[in-house]
Amino acid sequence: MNTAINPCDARRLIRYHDNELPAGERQAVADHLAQCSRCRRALAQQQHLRRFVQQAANGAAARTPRPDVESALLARIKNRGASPPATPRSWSPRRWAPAAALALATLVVTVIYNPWPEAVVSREPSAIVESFHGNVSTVMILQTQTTGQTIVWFNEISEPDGESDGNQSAPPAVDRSAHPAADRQRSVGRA
Amino acid sequence: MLILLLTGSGAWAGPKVKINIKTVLASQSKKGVDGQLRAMTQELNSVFKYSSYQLLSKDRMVLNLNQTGRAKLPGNRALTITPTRILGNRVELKLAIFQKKRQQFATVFQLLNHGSMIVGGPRHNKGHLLFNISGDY
Amino acid sequence: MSNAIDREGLSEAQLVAGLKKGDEEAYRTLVRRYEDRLFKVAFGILLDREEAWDIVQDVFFKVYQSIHTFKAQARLSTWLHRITVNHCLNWKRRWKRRLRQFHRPLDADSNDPLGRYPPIGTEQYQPERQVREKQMAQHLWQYVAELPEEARAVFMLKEVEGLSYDEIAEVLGIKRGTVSSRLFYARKRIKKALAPYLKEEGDP
Repeated sequence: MNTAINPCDARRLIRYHDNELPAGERQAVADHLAQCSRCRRALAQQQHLRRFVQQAANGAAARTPRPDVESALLARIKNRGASPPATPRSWSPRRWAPAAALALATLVVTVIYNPWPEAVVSREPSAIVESFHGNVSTVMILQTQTTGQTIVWFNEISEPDGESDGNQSAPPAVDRSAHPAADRQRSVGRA
Repeated sequence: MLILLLTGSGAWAGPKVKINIKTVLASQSKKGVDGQLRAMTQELNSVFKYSSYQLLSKDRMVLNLNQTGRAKLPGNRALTITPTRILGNRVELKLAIFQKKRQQFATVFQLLNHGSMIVGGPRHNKGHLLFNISGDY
Repeated sequence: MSNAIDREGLSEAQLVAGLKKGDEEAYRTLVRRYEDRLFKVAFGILLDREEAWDIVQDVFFKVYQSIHTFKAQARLSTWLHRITVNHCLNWKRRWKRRLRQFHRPLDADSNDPLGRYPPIGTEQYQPERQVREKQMAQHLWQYVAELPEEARAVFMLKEVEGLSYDEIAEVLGIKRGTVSSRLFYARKRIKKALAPYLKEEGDP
């Protein structure tokens, strides 16, 4: 430490500005700054440059058009299909901390599905579902047209054991376009 | 009688809820519908496109309110059902499906007296299991 | 945002656990927490908003693909920064970038090189200030463009992300001394960009 020989050490000042000096040296620089306007100016320039760069970078980030990274990522992951190596992966709304999310975290969405969208379902449903939760990937609540029969359908998460036949999709439906797809369920949000 | 049912509480035994559970294997790889399932499958055909429905087992239980009945299901599975209260012409039921002793799915619903609800569908033998739950009290 | 639940309170450990499980909410939190930070680093290296956003999306997808290799004791931000810089400095991208820049220099689309500004009538619309900011930023990025990309990386990680020399060294896989000297060099060059504005800010 040659504080006496070269007090206005530019590199040391930069390290001071970057908070990279040990406590002792830091104090020495602070003491020096109190007396040296040249170094104070140099430090102010460093600080100004930093603010400037941050402002410019923030500006670039804020400017439109900006992509919807969240949605794009989720879509990309879903379209990926096969899970990455090692861990079985799925979009299971699983339970995990914090506890407040427990009940909500496992829900997907409730959809009342009418296979004939034009017709009005006038029959009372055979069952009124109050709540559901599960370690499952999607849940659908359907009601048949003629008798108002309620159907609750859930899709299992694929297990790496023998039970899986590789078929993770919803039960084969008559009219796929009317069938609430997993993507739509996600976008509706949580109950 | 109706008033008693509505206010049913601890001391008196309360209504008995009769529950029937039909475990059905729905699949696309087979053909044919079990005779006992015709009415049910007719409804299901409006929603699903399975080519075969096979009745695997039937469970029948008579439960008091807050009494839990249990049914063993294929593939290391089990189902528990608990009537909790009577609400007008419906009975509130708690249902849970377990796989390998771990709870997989649970739901609470109000079943119409003499009505039925279908819950499905864990994968099994290249098809899906569904459970027709009917009840009356 | 589409989700009512605010997950910003998640600790890093909880977030990583969620990512490893493939929990959708964890990935949403990951994006919300880091997208701007990673964009700024990428932009400082690439100086192209579109490409920077592409990189950001690739980085998050890479997290999804490689999260099983992430060791719980490591810091998530360090890993993210490293992936970001590596993607930016990837040689294939660099060649494509150079070809593009050859045909379209940095200030070619000078009408709106840094994106659109708030529309007239909104609170944010302040023409004089924005023109000035635009000029300052233009100046800055022009000088940043003259730095080698590795120096840009060090510069952005320090000035914008506030990483320490050791952290930067860890992210880039270089020695602490190299960090220090690259920074010194970058700042010396860029101070020139600031010269006209520094004077205006008023020396004491």
